[in-house]
Amino acid sequence: MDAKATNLARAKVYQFLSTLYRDEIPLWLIEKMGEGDFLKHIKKLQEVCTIQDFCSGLGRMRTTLESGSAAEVFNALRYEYADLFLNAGNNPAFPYESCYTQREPLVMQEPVVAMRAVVNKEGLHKNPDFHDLDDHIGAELELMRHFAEKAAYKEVSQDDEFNFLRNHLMGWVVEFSAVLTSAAQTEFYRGLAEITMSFLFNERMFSFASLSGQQTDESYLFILEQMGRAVSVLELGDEFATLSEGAVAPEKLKEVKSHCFICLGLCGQEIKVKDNIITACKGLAGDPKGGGRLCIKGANAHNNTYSAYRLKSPLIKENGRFRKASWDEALDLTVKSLQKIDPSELGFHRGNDFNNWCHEAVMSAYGTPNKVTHRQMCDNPARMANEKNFSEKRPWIDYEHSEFIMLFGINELATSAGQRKVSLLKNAVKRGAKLVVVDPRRSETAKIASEWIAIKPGTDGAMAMAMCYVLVKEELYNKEFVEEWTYGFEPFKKRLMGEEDGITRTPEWAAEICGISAGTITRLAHEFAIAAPAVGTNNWTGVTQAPNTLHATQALIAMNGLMGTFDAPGGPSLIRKFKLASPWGDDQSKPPNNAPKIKLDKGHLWSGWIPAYFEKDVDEGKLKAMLCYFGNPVMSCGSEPSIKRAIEKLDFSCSIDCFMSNTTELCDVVLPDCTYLEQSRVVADWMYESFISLFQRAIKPMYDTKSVVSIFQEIAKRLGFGEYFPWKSEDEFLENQLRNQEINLSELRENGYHITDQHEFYKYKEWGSMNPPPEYGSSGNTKTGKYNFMNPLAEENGVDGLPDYKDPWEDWPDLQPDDDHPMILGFFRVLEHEHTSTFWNISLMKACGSNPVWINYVDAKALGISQGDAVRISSPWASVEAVANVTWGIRQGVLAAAGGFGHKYGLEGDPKYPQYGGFNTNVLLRPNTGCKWTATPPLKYIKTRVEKI
Amino acid sequence: MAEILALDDVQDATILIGKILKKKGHTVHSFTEEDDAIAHAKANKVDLAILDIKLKKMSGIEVLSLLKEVQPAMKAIMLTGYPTVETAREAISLGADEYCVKPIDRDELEEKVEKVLKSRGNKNAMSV
Repeated sequence: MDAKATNLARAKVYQFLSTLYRDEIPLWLIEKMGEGDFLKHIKKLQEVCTIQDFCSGLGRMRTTLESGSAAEVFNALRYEYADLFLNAGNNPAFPYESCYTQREPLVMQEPVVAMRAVVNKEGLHKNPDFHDLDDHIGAELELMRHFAEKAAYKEVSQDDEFNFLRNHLMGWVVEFSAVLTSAAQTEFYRGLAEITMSFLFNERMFSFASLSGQQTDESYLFILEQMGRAVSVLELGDEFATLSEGAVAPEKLKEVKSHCFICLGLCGQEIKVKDNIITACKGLAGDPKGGGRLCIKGANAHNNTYSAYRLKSPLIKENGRFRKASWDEALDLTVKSLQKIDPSELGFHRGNDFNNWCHEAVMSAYGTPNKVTHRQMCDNPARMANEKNFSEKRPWIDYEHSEFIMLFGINELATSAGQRKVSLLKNAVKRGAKLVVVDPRRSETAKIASEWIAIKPGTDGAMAMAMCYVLVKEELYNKEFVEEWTYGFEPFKKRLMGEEDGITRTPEWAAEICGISAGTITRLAHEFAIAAPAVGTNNWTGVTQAPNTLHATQALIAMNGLMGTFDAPGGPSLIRKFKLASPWGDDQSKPPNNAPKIKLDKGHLWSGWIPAYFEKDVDEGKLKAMLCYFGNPVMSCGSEPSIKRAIEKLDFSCSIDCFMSNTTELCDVVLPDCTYLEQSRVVADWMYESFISLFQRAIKPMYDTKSVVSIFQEIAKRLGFGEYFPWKSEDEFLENQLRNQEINLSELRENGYHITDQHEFYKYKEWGSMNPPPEYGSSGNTKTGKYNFMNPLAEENGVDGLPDYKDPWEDWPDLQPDDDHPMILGFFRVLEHEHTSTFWNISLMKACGSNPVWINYVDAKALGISQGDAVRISSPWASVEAVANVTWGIRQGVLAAAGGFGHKYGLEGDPKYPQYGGFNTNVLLRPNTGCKWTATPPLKYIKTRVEKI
Repeated sequence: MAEILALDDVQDATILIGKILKKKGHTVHSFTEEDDAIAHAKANKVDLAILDIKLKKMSGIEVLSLLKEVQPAMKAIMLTGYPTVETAREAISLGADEYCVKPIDRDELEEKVEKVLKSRGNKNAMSV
């Protein structure tokens, strides 16, 4: 062959390889590859080929092609493609150069910038119809095809071509081929890996020979000739699929003012974007939530977006395996499946509230009454207490002015809603404010506290009741506030004094229950009273994820009620958020609400769909399908094995998510959502000040993903409600929502936030009510306009509405620890992770990649367990294996591990990264069990035993 | 400048590596025998090992495994005349940072050595 023929043959081979990688292999191509002419050339080549891996690769490829009909081969390969390249499987072969520079599952790194520079220099750009990334193996191979064709037709210098070959392709293809060989289940893709690596090594030799003017190895020329002929038979076409003509200049650096949506903190973010690549996430100066700060999650938020484990395309499950689907096909199947059932048989589970007004409205129009969030498994006891007793679920304390802060089961330093609040708490401690942390575990916040009170799990109500008893008995409470601004004091007092049931809630009574001495309880009550009104007590999931803690929350918040500290400088604040206008414009019709007012499950106070009872509801025929948006109920809403079984028994399930998860893998259809950095929303928020915060799209949606609003618009259209969801762009609904504000969308984009009301104290005195005025929102409402010691909803329902302590096992006797299972296990949150949603982020996994189980030194010694030992933790319902962390930092009789772990996909599930992995404490839960008051599963009250393995 | 160990059963190859890298200011300790290289690593600091995969008694992969035991922070570049996916898999799983293919290209070797030495940590381990 002459030089031109050689280069054209090389181009053909590059085109062939690029085509096989860039997408699933189409049926027509498999048919052609399985036909005589192509195989004839391949067989001929195999007979004489002396290049070991090349030969072996061809043989493997043939094995698959000859293993069945074209349709059978097509199906086998599309399932494999979805597993390997679309992240449907747990051992993907990332096809991006970026993932191999540090062997990290992270895309859009430096190789993309370098690739764009080369492509630009060649007068090309990435084809907009190619939804994958610039440094995809298919794109780099196609660029080599371009170089080879250019050399053939224009006889130009090949310096740039060979430089790209050696410094880009060869720099990562070895590792990519090794990964692909290891991960592939079919001989076809193993063979493809061998052919790719072998071909490129020979290309490298070819480049040396060409540059030095030497003869190319004859055997390689023969391979090129034969492969060129074989590929010609396939008639692949002349057009480039991944590249387009015309250079495109890179976009300049811009700074996008937005807010973090990794946790509920919603701290302000300034996102640096260069040429549609996010290069950094920084704190947004002046933002009321973050105060210019970000935690490790916020600073690495773009590594969620750039996780190589992202879902890229809709997937449909067939024969137990996923395959790629078009949006139309996947959406049509989803909606047809929803239309086959009665809407009241569908459970809609959403794990976050990104533009929730849209998906809530679509589901209401469809007519399902069974809509849930993560609320029940989170802090529903606190919400049901606070939202009825006054006006807000979480009365964050004004730490800046506090003298005494008492936190029950809140690890502010790791789980705060806002980094500014964390900073204010740390500063308060530094200036001498007293911080008391009540928690069985010595959390990060307990470490900076003046006192760590290592209480027995589930008994906070007893301690709080006894503190209230001291305040009332010794008449230390604020009589003026109690008289003017509270409701239900007298019955509460009767309960405290034992006039109701003969049990006086004294510190001695409480000490027996909670394991904290009566003296300590009394002293803390005195200190609380002396420091009032610059005091506050609050709680969170450390309390609420044990059963029967609604009344406990009422008890500990009642201390604020007794001392009149609401909205005092240093006390718990009353929240007001200046309401946004409707996303629907004045001339746009709102969708109908077709959901019947029926409740799937009923408890003492909470009714509706209770995901902790998922399996029971499915077994009883109440639920037949699930639509899940950004949720992972399998791992979070109750017993993991039970909820997994529930979803498996459904007629249909669909998940809208960014990643494959323990829930997503069970679904029939998967629709790929984009991350928050690729879509926009506006919210009314609060952190001492009232403000509007903008979540501004930083980059275009990656791959073939869509924003959640777009997805639900498509669902609505297919359900026949399209006219009610008319927005043509994000700007349209954002502008609608801002039409009652004093600033417009353009102005909000400049700052990212807008303060509507400054921080004020004792707002309720001006309002004449504990409820904010109508133009403001909060999450609750007090019917009396006052702080209620007596929960009005409970009073209305004729059930106990006063603060108290109730045994955690009162409604579920077999939750009580016993001789077989004497220890109580729970999970805790860590700064590095947000529930189950961050385990695909390499930066966060490097910071916290496993979850050893904390065990007290004394307990460990008695059980012969040492630091780092493998242990088995068993409950009556399941057992798991873990690694022991022996510490003094946890109360005796208690076990705890970081939550969120136990994924089958992402870094925990990927066999390439065995260093990451942990267990899910929820595996050990009693199936179909939730608190009868609030539906919260007993996530932090699991009776267990632990033994060394 | 770095302490570099070069091991290849072909002496000419180690000489070439030494020539290229000494000009860049590195100290290169060249070996053709596996035992000598291992003994050197046990007694001396090694920043980077450049190991041929095909050796006399052991494979370069085995030597890498032994060297990593005594010098876990050491970086490694594997050298091979004809790499296969199988050897690549083994090398990656044992923590080799880079692959370099014979014939040795001066620019390529210099670039890879600088890149590996500049990186703060070793490349992540990946089990394939």
